[in-house]
Amino acid sequence: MTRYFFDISDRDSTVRDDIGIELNNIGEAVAEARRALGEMLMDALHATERNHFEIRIRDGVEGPYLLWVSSDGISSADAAAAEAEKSAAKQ
Amino acid sequence: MIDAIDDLLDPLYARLGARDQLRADERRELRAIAGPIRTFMAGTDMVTEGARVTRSTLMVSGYSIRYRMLAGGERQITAIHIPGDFVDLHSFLLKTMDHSVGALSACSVVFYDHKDLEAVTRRHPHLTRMLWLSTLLDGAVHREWIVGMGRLSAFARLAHLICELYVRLNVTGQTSSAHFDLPITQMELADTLGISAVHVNRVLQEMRDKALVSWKGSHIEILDWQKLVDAAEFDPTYLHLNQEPR
Repeated sequence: MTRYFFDISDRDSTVRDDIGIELNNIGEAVAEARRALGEMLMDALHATERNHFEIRIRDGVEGPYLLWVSSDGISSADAAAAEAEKSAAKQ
Repeated sequence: MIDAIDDLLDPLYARLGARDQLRADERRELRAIAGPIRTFMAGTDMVTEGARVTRSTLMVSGYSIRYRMLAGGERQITAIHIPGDFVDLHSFLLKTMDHSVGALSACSVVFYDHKDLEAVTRRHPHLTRMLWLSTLLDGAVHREWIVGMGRLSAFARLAHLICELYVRLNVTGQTSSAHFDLPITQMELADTLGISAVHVNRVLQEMRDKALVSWKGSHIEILDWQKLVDAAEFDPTYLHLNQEPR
């Protein structure tokens, strides 16, 4: 088991992880980070919050490994949908 | 000895008593049929999924969890139990456990043999209804968790869990002003809220940044109850805290 640390950044700040999580390998750490990014993105999209998220995985030996996802880049295919998207974001 | 048992049963009396008065003879009955006391170390199983059980387990100290394991090793915690809760009163009629119960912290329990509970149902109709109520309250909490899991953000879910545990612990006298203990790891919190442990970290940080709670080790202090309630859309109706004839 290795202790992996996950520093999370969004548009405003970075939170350094000093506790970490024990996992079997970097593959599990990446899977954990991907899941977290998906959840954070989903909450941001629901809240119509323009944001992006980055997770930097550190294990003290290799890396860091960087994964990121964004809710900035949502695009709407036609003008009406874009307008609705804009008004949802305002609420 | 009888006093010692009564102390152990105080959280149960308080939990049921908050919903309807328990008569002296009913307390006497709960005391008389109380089985042996046992302690469990944190992280050990108290009841295992698939087991055929012949007794129900009452929490008298510590914290326990109900959980299900999935094939890939993932876990979902479906309830957190505190002193005064039965962790498996439903096994009296369901017989086979469809989930496991584990000790979240060191805990002690009192066992109630199903044959003694069966005798209660014949002798004490009101106490029987109170025990029925106990399992109904478990069901109400499960429903509230499903709503949160399906519809609330991770932040709101954590806020809701804190509100709920505070109110439940308050009923059994285990809070002091705005403080209570919850000995839970980041991973266990993730399994409770149905989110990844990494995400738990972020949500905890957000809660600190917004100054809703202070969380140090297992110690939680609620800094802004109203904001926490608003964030969680917490409405304690589902805890049925009015004392009335049942």
